[in-house]
Amino acid sequence: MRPGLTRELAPPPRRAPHRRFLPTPALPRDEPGLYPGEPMTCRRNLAAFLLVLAHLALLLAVAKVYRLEGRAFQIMMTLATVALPIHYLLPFRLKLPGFLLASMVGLSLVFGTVTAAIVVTLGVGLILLSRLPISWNARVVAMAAVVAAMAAARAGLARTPVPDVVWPILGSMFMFRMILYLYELKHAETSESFTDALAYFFLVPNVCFVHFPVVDYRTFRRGYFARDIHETQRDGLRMMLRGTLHLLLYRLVYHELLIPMDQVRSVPSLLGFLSCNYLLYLRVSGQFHMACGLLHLFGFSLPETHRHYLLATGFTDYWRRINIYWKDFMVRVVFNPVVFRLKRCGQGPALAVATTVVFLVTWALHAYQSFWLRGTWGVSLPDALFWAILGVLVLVNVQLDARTPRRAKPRAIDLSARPLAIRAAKTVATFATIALLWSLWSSPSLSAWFSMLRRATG
Amino acid sequence: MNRFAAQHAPMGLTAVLLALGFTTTTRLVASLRDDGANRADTERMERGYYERLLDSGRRLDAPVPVAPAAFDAGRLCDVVADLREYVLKPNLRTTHRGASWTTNSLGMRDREYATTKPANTIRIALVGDSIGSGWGVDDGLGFEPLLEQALGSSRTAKPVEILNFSVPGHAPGQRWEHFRRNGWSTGPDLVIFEATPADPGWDERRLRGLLARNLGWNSPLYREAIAASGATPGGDFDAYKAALKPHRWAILENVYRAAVGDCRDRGVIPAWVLIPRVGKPIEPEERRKLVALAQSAGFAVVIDLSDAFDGIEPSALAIAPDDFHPNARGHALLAKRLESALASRPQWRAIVEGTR
Repeated sequence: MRPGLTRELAPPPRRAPHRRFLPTPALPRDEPGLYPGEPMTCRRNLAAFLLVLAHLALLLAVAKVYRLEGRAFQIMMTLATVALPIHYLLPFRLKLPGFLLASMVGLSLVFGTVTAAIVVTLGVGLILLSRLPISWNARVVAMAAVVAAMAAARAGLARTPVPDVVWPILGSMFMFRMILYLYELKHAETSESFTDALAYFFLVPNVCFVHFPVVDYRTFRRGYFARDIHETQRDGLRMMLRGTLHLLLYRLVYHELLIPMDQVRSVPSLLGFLSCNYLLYLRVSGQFHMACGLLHLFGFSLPETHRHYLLATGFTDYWRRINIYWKDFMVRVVFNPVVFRLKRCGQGPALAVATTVVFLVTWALHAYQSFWLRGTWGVSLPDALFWAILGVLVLVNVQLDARTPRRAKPRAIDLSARPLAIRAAKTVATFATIALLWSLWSSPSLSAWFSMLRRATG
Repeated sequence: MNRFAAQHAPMGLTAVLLALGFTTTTRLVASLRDDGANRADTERMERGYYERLLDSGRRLDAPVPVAPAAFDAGRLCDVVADLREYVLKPNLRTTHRGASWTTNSLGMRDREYATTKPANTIRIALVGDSIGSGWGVDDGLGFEPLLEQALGSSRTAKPVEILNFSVPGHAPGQRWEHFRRNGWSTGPDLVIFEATPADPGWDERRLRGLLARNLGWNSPLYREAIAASGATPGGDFDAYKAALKPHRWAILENVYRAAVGDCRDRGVIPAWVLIPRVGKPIEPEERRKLVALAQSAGFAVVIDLSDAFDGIEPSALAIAPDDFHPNARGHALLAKRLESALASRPQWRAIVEGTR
């Protein structure tokens, strides 16, 4: 992320997030609000920034008053509020090191200096390993060997002096982003800087959210100061407010509306349970909005992580709206390569195989994530059935979509009665199906799930 | 104007949220501010993939890596075939979830005591649950050993011993059953019955499982309430739950009355202390009802410490972010409050002066 890297191409329709911005030269002369050689997107404006800072302080106060997301989150929010003005005033070339320093301080404040030092040491080691001057395949093999050794330590099979608390933190930072980083190293046309890599792995909000969106390396890099900083920051604050609302709604559902599974005794109580159980996901979307919003404050313009997923009108639509970063990750690393390899087999079979592989990999990677974060794989029959059924539903939807001739997308939703009713029916049907599947996923066993359905219906 | 409004509407909404957060009177706002587990999860409800992942994240930032409230009966306890379900193992010396755990030969998380009360000594029995046993803090840092130390160093002129009969996870009836079986032989002058805001309904939840396993039917603690509920042998967990739930306050009242009756029969003063849980403030109405129940049951000393943690951030008092058990600081606060509350009671002065 070098000075004067990017400029916005407007409008950016139907463009993959990592392709929305292109490099632009830095300004050669002095401009007000800029140090020499800085990009225009970095131009400082005290009045605009003070409003941003005031809003951030308000969000911090809300987090404190509502005790949102625990001690680590509040430390991180306080740190961001303190670090942001310093970062804002730093010359562009020092902004990324400043961001990194804030991450390190956050890591130390939340987990203690010793744990932070071990995480950073191991993390830097992994990054260096991924950048060794050997062939890409050899690096991947070496990385797999090191990860296997770490997994043995995480599982308690190998004794190491590394404290247990280190593994979930390290896992959270590297388990998926390293896959994307290696993928990027394979396909990158130019060499990637070490500072960029450090900033990519040691993200400030990752300190408090170990369950973290799978940020794409290229998107992360290209979005850096890609637009006017104040616009980016305001977008981030909007995301953070959205995250706050999701987290508060989660509390309402969790404390006031959710009933235990064993209290489901009738169809209305079943409907209430299914809806509320699914709405617990608000906590995930809330955390993801918070994390990405916070990155915006430091100049990283990133796409939204969830887009009105409760209003999905079909299963592919749902897959595109919920956890968008995961969908992009799977499309980039699994779906597109599989479709490309099978293109000679025809579109239908290629899409079918690729979708199947995506869901198999998604299932496996969710278990892998659970292993790093919780120490257990968490594989169960309800878990397998959830991914299998969702995979089949998306597969069917993808096939139907592929056979429907493409039409120009209408600019606005048709508000006449019939299309609106159809849309509402599709939304309700999708919500109901997903809520039912979600209850299966969170059920302790298949028999407990069937028992709940029996109690409700009979 | 529109552009200005669109740009600043989020800040306005944030300010509204903040203002709402300062309103502490409504249940809605209390729920929004509640960062602990809900009632169902406190009863160990199974949770989904993301819930478990997120909780693993929240625990990582705990100053001491202590797991939440779920009681692990395996390492610390022996299972018993009566309504207590389990009791602490005697002569245990281990580390449990980051805290040192030592039990004496009588199966108390406490130092060794002579079975018979030594002459010229004041003996108190503490009957309690996980907070009473000091869950999550090291040996010697619970409010019981701290209170013993404080009372012993005050002007009582007599040594003070507090025997801790608390067992984590025990409902009020189970606490009393455990003391009834083991405590009387130790000759206490005063019995402190530790209560928490979770007490109403706790016995009812335990009884569901106990009755289904054919335990507790003839217990004098529960017999009356079971009869009133209409529950009969041969039912299942769900049937007992439906039958007992409306009687949860009656069950607790019977337990309290039985405890008071037992104490009076032996000429021992029964005291009742309401202990708060961190980050889980009790509803004022529930608190009034609970205190009134203890008074009407006949406890000679009723001490309400439910405000002991008021005004202090839960994160500064809990053993972990999502746990309601107090840390060492919380226990020290409780010990201090309990010491001063006891000192002001004539019953305690009578014990100290030997005039009762």
